Amino acid sequence: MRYKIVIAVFLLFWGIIIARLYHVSIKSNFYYEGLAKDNIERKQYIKPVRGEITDINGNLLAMNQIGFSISIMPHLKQTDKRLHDVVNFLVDTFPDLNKTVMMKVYKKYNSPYNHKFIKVVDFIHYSDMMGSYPELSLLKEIKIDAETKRYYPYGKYAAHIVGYTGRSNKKENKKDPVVNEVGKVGKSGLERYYNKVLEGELGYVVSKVTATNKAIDILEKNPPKDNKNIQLNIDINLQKMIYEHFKKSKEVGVAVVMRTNGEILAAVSYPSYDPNLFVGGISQKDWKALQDDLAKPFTNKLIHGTYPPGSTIKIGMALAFSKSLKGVLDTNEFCNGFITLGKSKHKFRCWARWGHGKVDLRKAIRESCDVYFYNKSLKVGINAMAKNLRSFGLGVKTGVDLPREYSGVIPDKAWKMKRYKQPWYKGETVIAAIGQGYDLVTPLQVARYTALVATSKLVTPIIAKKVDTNFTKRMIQPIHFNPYYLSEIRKGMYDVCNVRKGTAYRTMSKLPIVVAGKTGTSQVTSIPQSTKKRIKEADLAYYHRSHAWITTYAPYEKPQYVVTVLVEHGGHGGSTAGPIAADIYKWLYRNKYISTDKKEIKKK
Amino acid sequence: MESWFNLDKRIFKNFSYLLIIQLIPLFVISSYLVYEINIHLYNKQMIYYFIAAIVFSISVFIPWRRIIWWFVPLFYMANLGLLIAVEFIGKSILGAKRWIELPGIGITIQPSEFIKVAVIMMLAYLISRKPPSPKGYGLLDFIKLSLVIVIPFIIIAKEPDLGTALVLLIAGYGILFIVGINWKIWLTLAILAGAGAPLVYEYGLKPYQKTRIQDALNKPSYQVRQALIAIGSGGLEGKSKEESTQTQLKFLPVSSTDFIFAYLGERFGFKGMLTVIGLYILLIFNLLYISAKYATDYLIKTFASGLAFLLFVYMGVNVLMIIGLAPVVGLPLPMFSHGGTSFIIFAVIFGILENLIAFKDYNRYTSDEKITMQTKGTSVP
Repeated sequence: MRYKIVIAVFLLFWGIIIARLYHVSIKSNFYYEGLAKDNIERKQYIKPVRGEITDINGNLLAMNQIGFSISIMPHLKQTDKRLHDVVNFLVDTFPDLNKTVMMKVYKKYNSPYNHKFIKVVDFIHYSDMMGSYPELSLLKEIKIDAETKRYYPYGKYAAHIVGYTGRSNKKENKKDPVVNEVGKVGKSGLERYYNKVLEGELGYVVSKVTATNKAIDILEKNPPKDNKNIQLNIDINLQKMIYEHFKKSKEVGVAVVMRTNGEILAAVSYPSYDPNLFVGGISQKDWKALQDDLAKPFTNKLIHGTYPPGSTIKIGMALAFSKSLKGVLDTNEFCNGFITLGKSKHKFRCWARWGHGKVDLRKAIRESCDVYFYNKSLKVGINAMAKNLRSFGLGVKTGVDLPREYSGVIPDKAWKMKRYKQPWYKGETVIAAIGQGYDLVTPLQVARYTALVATSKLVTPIIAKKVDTNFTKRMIQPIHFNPYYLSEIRKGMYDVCNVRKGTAYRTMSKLPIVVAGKTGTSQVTSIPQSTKKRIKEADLAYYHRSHAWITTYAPYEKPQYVVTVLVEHGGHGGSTAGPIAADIYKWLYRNKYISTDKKEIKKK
Repeated sequence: MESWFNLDKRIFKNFSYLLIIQLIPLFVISSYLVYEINIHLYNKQMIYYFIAAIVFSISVFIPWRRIIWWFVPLFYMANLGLLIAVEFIGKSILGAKRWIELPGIGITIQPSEFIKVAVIMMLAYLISRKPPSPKGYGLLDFIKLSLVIVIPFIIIAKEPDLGTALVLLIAGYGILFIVGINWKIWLTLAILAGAGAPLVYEYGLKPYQKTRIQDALNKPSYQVRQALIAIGSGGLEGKSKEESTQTQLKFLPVSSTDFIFAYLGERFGFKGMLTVIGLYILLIFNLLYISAKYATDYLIKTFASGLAFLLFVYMGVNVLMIIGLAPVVGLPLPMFSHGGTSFIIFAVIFGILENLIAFKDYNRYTSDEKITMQTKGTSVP
């Protein structure tokens, strides 16, 4: 009996064991098989090499320097003599390195769970390393890996367009697995806009590993997809020429050279910064210097600078009038120097004190008569004006291939109510008609809309010509205008540059090609308080001075190029912005971008 | 004494060959697995087998029945002494004080390994000296016998080596159950145990022991998890040596010793595990059969049942802990896991049992022989 009880108890236990074994090995076989496979397979990513950026002639604007990174073996104590010896040796070999920084980095990543070498030196240039490599490679405490570093040979010349890469943050890592592996991401400009293409695709190796993570066999290998390069429409030599021009004349401003199909040949925002400062992380001192500079070198004024368009708006304004109210441009206006509204005594003056007399459309453009536009705007009304101007590309994003573009402002009644919770006044319509008041546009918008006037096609500006292996698409949207008004406006623009009374006659008439254009002088409405505080008393006059605009296209007969220049606080458009535009056309002619010259046209 | 060897034939007639034959498949499978894991360990294992064979032979031929009256109490007391000595001069490894370093030769011994033999022998000796009445032992005898078990149990549990302590407790009381104790005592004990278990868990266990128990029941530890993966991925048939990645790539810890059963599962699958468990079941049944067969010889009865319980507890706890149903207490699979001490001790226990069976009628043989010798007229030297 007692034996039977004992055997029963034993059998019960054995029954439990066998049932459990059956469940684990047969019922859950598939599940555990998967876990066993997970155990031995380790996926390691291979970083792709970032694509390069070249200008239209193949000059490298963003490239990868080849060099090395240095890592130190983990699990060395802070007091370990070997650690100090190695770090000291590195500092002796490369005097630029900082011991405290390296020790700090080492301490941060050193833990019993980390079995990887700890990278303490991000980049040492190939040529610097060559001499010391044999010696360094003998130290078993350190590991030297091939590493690339982004380098911008033309530095500040194209910084606002090309942008720069920098170390990625947690948010960026989370969003993109490639960034997470590489640890670098395009932070601004094209580097940011085309980051997905430039960074390439990760490759990977699946290897069979032991419990201690030692690879013993390669199961699968997939190389990265990299070297996805981008070619731009930019000509870096033109870019450089414009930049140096600004530098020489000590002017702050923007110049855009665009083909009438939208391809941007040069886009300079002066002053600029050296993007190479950002690649390895910018120092506090350099960053503060950039931030404190009143000329705002860090701002890409091309798309982030918003200015009142001033008189450059008039060519578009005239088209807006014609679209808003049929026949409104057929009547002439009489300018006696000012208008008044209702019973108010406030005079809205024309820039010409004694007036222009009888003014038709062509004369209104040529001589930039304000009263003409005052009167027409009162007939049309702000909402219709704003609606049409926006459809011409003012006050809306241009869609250029750069990140975080600003849209500017073309106001209407609803906008003002939303923004200021106030009704619209007639006086505001009047000043909006001459590009003042609430009007704010970016230089690129002005260039884009100049191309529209030249070709009656609204294009999307584009910097990249070829992304990886694909040519970028040109987006061209034809807009129909009354041909008569359009030709009158163009003639007016011709007069601006080629007739003695024109505002840009002095600079533009002597060029080897025929240019048509419009100047503008936009008043500085207010200086931001933060800026004002830092301006020296003596410089105050400068900061109150108007911005100078000129926007042009050429050749007049068969428009191919648009050149738009803005000089901050440049005073009158024709005299400060004009010479820059003129130099650009000379350069284009000299470098055979424009083949048809004046004589040929005259022959025809 | 000189006539001893003349009796060989009849001694070997009584020898339980089956018991030894049953062990051979276990040795073969174990050696094969250890060979695949690490050839150096296999070589060591062969040395252990050799030593064990010698020790077994010696213990078969020690006249236990003749020396039991003085040897067993002495051996038991000496072991208790060693256990207590551990408390004072013992060496701590990983927080547990279980080892004594023998001065001069640098060998460490673990007295709790030997106490198992000592307790079983002591019980056998005491029971054979005063067998129970048909109704079983009374309370007084029960307490006396209990002391033999409980004293070393408390010392070992304090080391702490809960695994070995529990083996001792279960095997000891298992023997008492087989031999016979008045059922009223068992009933009282069962009630007390039922009421006391929660209290023991609350106050009697150290925090690490509690976590072990909880881990075993809730989330398996790294080693158990790897063991489950090994067994689970083996399936019905098991995998080839190269494909047994859990063991070959060292994800499975202590794969040759405590966790060898998991490798068995990975390598030979459910069939292999069933075979080995079957071998243990047959072995334990045979031991219980021997225990029941020699009902009147309390030495054999006690020893055989003690060995059966020992094997059952070791094997049961080892497998249960590998499949995550018991805490990881570090008990090997008896005579299967790679390891010297435990294996050799089992060899001794088997040797003693064989001796007891073989020389069961020693006293009768000697008297018989006198008769035969006289009738045949052979001279007695």
